[in-house]
Amino acid sequence: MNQALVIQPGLLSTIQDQGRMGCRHWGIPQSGAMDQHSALVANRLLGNNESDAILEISLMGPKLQFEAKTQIAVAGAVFEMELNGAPIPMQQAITVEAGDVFHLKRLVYGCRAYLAVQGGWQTEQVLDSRSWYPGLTTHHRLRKGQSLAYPEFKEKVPDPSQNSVVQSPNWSESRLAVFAGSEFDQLSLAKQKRLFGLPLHLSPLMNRMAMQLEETLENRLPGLMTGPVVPGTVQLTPSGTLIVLMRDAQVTGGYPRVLQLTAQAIDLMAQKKQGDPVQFVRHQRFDEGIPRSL
Amino acid sequence: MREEMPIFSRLNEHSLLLQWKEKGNPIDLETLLFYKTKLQNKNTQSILEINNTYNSLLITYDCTIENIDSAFEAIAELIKDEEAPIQRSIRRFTLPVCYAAEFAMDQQEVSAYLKLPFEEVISLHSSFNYRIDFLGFLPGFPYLSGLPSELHMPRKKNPVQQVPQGAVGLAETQTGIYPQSSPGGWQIIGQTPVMIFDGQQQPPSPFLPGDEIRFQAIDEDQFMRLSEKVKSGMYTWQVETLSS
Repeated sequence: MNQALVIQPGLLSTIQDQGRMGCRHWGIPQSGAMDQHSALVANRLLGNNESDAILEISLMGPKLQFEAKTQIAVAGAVFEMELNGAPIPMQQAITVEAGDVFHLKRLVYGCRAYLAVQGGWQTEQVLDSRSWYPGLTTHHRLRKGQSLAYPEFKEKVPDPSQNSVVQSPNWSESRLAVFAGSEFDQLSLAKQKRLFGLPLHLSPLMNRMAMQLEETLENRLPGLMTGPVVPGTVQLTPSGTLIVLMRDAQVTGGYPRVLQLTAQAIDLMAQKKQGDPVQFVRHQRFDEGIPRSL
Repeated sequence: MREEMPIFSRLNEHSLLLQWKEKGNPIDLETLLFYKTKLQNKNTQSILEINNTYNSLLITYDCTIENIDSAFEAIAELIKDEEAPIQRSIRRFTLPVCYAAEFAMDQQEVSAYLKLPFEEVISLHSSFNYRIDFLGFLPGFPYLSGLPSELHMPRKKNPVQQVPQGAVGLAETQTGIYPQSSPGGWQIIGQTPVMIFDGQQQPPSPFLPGDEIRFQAIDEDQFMRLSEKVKSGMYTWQVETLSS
């Protein structure tokens, strides 16, 4: 096993994969890459498995030194990046040699980038996942001086079909497709309409658990008995704040669930920053989220 | 067996939400777990997990649900099925708790609010069996019911930054145990030396919905001795199986 040494950790860099499934009954969040699509793209560029662990990088990138030859690829948010001080492109496989220093420098567009290494990062596995989560895994954010393990380099014949998956969505897209949340139909028609009206904006309060919106919606709904919530659930608090739950969200919550983002909308949301506009739009299966008797 | 049908909705691409929300006649946990076990026993391969809260079941599939109506109907059929499921036996865990002042940071506030001497709070808290409704909030955090009304009190107005791992607290009609140190707003009355959640163990928590917890008062010396046992991996859970 080889190691990459962390020279600078960046703002919030974490190891993630597709998440920890089947662990809700222990109260364990799903976790996993915030933007699953971009993580998949990074892995495919190297011919990795979809479930291989990647490094998720938010807003400000890390500087890593590789102790042995391998291939890396970066997808997701657009960053200026360098290998040994020379600019290198995103969205393609790049060979690094022993001693090379990789630096993800300045964020240009989006919010989160994904650094894949050939064969996937070989960090600790807890409950069948390498996704970092505070209180569960030994590490929960990248630290200076830490090392990340990666497998021995293997020569691979490039597979041209993999280039077909590197298309990224249009991140200037502010429209987020949603299903009705299970308490949506308890809102007055006027309030339902406001959820789909003018663009809403991202507040600075955001992390891997949840992202809040600036605009509020007066809330007269009664509190709920604690019930299930999942990534993408939009909760309405008693003070009228809209909170979009993300990958590290708790598994249960007590606020009315007014909307539910689609998987694709969660990926898009993960690339939004403070002040960015978002607009909820009805998915064609919107009404299936409204509870009904059979 | 009374037959109650829930209301159905899609939660996201691959999960369904079943809610029993009849006003004035809330579903009891036994009935909810009865339905949950029924569905689990008939588990089709595509169901990844079934979770309960107080009045809901979340059914998570390993793929996108294409036809929601047939998914709803398949579940409704299973609920209507008259065959009684084989229920697992309920376990009662005895959890040692030290209620001494150094572990009970909110002792004075609790006594003042409840108008009870703290000895009385300890005696009440440790003489009931609490049912585990489900786990949530933090990994391994059990939602417990059965707190006597004499011990009901509101959460703190301002949460504290650091509640220690193992802290036992009160909030509204509930009592609970912090599986890890965390910010929190519960009124802390004691601490258990036992690690109730450990991600490195399989399973990471021994608790299942329907199981019971009973608190046993211990002194500081016992707390220290048990802490050492827990650290060295020598602690064994005190648990009895209840006939159902």
